[in-house]
Amino acid sequence: MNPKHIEFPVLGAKWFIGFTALSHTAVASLAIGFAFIVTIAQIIGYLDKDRSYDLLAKRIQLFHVCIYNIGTIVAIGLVFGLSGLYPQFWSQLFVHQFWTLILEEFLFFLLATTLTFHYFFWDHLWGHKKLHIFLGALLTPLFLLQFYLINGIGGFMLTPGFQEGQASLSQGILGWDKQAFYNPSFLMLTLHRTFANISYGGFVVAGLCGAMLFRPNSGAIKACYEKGGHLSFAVAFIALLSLPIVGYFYSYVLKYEANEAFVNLMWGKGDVIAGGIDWWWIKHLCVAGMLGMTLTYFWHEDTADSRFSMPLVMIVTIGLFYLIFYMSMGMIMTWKFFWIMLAFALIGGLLARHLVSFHKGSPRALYVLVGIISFLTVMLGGYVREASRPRFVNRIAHYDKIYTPAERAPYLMVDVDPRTIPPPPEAIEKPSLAVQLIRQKCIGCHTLERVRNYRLDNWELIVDQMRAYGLKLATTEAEIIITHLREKQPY
Amino acid sequence: MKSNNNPEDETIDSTGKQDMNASTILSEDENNESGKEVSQSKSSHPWEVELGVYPLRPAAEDPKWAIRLVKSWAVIAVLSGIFVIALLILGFFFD
Amino acid sequence: MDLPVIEPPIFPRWVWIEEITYSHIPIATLITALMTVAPVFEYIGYKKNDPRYDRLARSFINFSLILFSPGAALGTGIPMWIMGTYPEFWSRWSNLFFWPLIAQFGFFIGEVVFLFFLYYLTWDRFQAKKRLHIFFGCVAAIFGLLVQIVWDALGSYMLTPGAVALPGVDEPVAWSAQAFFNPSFPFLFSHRFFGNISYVMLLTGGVFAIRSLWIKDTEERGYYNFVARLTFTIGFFAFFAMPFIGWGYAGVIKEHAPVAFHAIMGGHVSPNFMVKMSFKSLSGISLASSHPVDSRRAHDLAPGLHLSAGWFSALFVAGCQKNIHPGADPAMVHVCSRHRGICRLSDRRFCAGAQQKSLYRVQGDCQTRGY
Repeated sequence: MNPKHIEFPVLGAKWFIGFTALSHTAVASLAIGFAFIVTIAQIIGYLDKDRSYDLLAKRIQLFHVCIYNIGTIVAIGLVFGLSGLYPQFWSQLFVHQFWTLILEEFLFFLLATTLTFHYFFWDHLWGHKKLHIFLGALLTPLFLLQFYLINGIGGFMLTPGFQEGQASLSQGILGWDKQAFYNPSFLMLTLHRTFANISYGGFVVAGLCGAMLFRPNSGAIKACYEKGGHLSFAVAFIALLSLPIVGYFYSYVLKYEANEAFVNLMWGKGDVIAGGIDWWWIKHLCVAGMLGMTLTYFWHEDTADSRFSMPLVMIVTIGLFYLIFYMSMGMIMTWKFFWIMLAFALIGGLLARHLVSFHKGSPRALYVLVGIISFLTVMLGGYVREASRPRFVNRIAHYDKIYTPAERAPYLMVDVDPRTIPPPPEAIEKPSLAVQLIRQKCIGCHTLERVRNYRLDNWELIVDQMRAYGLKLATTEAEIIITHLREKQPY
Repeated sequence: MKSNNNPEDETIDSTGKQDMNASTILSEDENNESGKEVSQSKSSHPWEVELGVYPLRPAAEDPKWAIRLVKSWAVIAVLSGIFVIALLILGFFFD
Repeated sequence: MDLPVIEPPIFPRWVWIEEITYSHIPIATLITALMTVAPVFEYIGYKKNDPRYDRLARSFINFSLILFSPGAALGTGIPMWIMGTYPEFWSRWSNLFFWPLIAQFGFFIGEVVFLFFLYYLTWDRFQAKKRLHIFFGCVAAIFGLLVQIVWDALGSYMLTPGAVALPGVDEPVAWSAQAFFNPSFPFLFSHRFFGNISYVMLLTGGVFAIRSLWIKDTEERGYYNFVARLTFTIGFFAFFAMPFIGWGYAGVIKEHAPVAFHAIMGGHVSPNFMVKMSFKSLSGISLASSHPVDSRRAHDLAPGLHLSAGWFSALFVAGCQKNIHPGADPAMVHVCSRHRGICRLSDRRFCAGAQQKSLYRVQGDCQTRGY
């Protein structure tokens, strides 16, 4: 089967899906990061009995409540787009991983309700603050569980696992497929996204705090946003540090399990290049720039003796570690990559230093800048991951028509050897004209059971009555029906 | 994100109320009692007055219906999370 | 497209779809009605300079926000369940209505942006720009109603498809004005619109009336009684619009979906209809009796009667929904489930009108099973 797509105007089907998916990612990833930062801020606020963290956490959660529904709705737009534009692929995928998606939907409801309760009961539970913090803390594991489920499907599309994946597909497994879900890149994708979302959310919160620091407020309010910025920037930085490492092993998995995607990414081929630009490179430029900026920031924080600082020796060690990391990346990709990344890290560092000193020690501009860059990084990361992989249906030949038709229906959801399935029933003989007429005409208003249950034999009167009620029936057709019914023939 | 009398602070006035139920939420008047006009000063940030105090209070002062609701929901959410994790673990072994 | 279906455990597929849908509908109707009424109240308060209306409008929006996320999350479950359990139906149906679904996506985004960001968050900030604020509320409500219009059109098509057949999965259709504006669409929409207003206003009246019994503060009690009486009156008038619309609705069903009409009036779902009508009569009696009492004798008896009206109206909505989406004939479900087609007995006319092929396949199977 080769379904024709509904072509989406202007953007085209592929770009509509890409655009919608990235819009959803932008919000959904933020939600996970927000949930984590809110909990951390609430805990610190409770331990220190410092209201600033709590007020900040509440403000973030309000923003979270507002954007959460945008994420939900964009997700549904994505589902509608996929089912309309790629009906065969989407239906196959949906039926293949139905229970995964339903569980994900169930978690969606749990999250929406937990988030709503957490925000709207904030001031009702000052006597039970620990309970309130616990309720908010539940959001992070629930969010992570939810997106692990999506990662199983997303990872499967990138690394279906060759023989294993195809084998399970050819058996027509429905609703849940362990081999497809726990595919080779599932673990690395999950780890990468977990840390990336926390990092992204943290940097965006710091960016928002930075933006608020530009507004004319009193010293106390500014101090409040400064605290929020320091905290979330530190959390985001710790998460950021793990990303290149996890990403390295992620690409290692791709090399063996999705070699075409690996080649496309590393050497700039296929859709990774769009508009003459290698977007994978742009993403790495952002990451290198962020590393330079964040390391310089913590260098400054160390001298400023801030609460969320780290010793200089640690900063230097991290810097050296990432120098080695980029050297190894240069070996895999090109040395040009290494030198340009190094240059961007240095430029990022110098820019950070300039911004902090320009604002008399306040990192507000740096917060905003890193927040924006982290957003771009997440978008570009999502784009190149999807753009690098070969078309799914081209790769998995089975996926275009893997299922056998109705004769398999009785065996659905049962572990069964396909060879034991009996052959399909022989074609049903076409019924006579009388039978066709009865089935077609009578069930317009009632079931055939009703005809069968009628015990008298005055069919002429009955058929005439039906015609009087509005049944469109030619006289010859009526005669055929009456004769058939009178003879008590089956129908 | 800055605002005066931002709705974020809508429940603050109601924190002192002990007798609350679901209709309180339906009827909650954000910053106002009895439909009185908003009269907070526009010049100061609403956090100014709140920053100084971390308003922990005796547990008995929290509305009971809210505690019951949140506790019940927390139990449901935890059990549901365990259920999902259990399914994922079982799903690792069985199709 | 040869796709098998997911057969969920415990209950048949249609029960799962039904229950998932019912989990969403009471919340969605509540939000839609509250959003529709809130800017109207705010405007009245602004014109009359009566802060009680503003307070009420605001609490409606506050409550809508509490319900919004869980309601939306439950709503996403509906297409997801249909996609898995009726994949072919969903593919063909969403093919016919692709653009309305995409438009609905845009309306939903518009609803959230206006409701959350421009209406809820700006309530205090826009005190000096009340007209603009009310305008934002109206736009949010219009977006909400547009979402409802899309789903009512798609839902009513399943009952009265007219002459429009479901397209094949691989046909690039995407839109049919004739299918969207099908015969029963205006009746379903107007019936649901008034139903939403009536149900939510009566429920609010009941809640506020009961709440007023516990309030010691005289001023607060006055406010609660004011709200109870106001919402009760609106619910009362909205309620009595419904039988007239319902009558026209029934006429359209009779003409364009005689099987469903028969099923409701004397067929397998007629008991549901009788229960619904009983509730309707009871709520009508309750409303009619409580309103004059309320006017004459202040609010001595009003709370209890309001509550009963609210209770009955809630039951009425439940009965009504059950009736609009009648249950399936188990035998037909069993047969049709093998064909991934449209499975409800009451929709058989729909099968016949929309896709002859589906009908023949069902009939073929009926024959092999000796029906």
